[in-house]
Amino acid sequence: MKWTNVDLQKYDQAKEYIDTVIVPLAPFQIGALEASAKNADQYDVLTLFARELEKELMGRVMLTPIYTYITTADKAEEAARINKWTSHFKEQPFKQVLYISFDPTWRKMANDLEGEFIWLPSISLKDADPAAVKGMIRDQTMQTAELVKSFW
Amino acid sequence: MSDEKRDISRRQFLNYTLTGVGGFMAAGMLISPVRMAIDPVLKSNEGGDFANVGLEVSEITSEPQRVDWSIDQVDGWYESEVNRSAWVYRNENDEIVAFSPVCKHLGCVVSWEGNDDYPEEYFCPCHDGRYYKNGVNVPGTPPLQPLDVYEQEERDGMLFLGNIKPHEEA
Repeated sequence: MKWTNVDLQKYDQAKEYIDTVIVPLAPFQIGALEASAKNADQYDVLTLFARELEKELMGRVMLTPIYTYITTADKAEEAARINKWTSHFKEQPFKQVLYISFDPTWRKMANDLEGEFIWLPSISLKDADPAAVKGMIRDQTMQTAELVKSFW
Repeated sequence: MSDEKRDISRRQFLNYTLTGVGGFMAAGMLISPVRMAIDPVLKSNEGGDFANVGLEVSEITSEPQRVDWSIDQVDGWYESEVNRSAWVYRNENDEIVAFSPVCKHLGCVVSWEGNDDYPEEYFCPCHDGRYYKNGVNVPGTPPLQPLDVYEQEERDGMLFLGNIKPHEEA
């Protein structure tokens, strides 16, 4: 399920079956061109990837809007805010809260997060042909879906 | 000026003109609804809904295999590429069957022999929903309907899949 009107109606009917929230985490900035452009690229890939993952596991997961933060932000502060999201979800009740991100800096903070952090090796959309990108995203989706299943 | 020449009076002339103009206006207003009403007849339908899924018919065996393809979906002026997939196999009557992999419970993607405990069955990882090889749901598992089926046809030895329709043996 996604955070859309249609899916929320479905969620309301089937709350007992949907016990997992997936929160994508993405850094952003508008500054130095190369770094900013890279963040923007990763944001796109994460959006695409999160949607594919949701499609695969639709009946048991709720995909939230992307949690964005300034690239240089203090991670401890962000972690506290993410935990607020998490406790909000757990009120529903959702049993599992999973964060997915290409940003490896969360790795160090993973212990401070109340949900499970899944780091994904990033894929670059640049100079790859669309078919190859599709294949890579498909591969990574299937592998991540397996990982998500291991939490169930 | 003789009276015989004036065989159209001013009143008649105005009447004719107004009727004529009114007629044109009515025709103008009617023409688009009429066009819309018969529109489906004018639309060409050459089975364009079928898509080549990149699988040769001769490669289809009794073992279900997954095929992935994408179609262009036009939603208003917004055109997007949509990914589709199916499980294709040849059933005991030697007919080709293509199942939609979308679980009838809450829409997860099922896979053939997706769980080692249930061989020869489709398995949904989300809530352990199961389907027999013929697509019928295993009683006692969450799904209440059999897997949907794709319309299919063969062109030049390749498999083409079209719209999704409900399973017949419901």
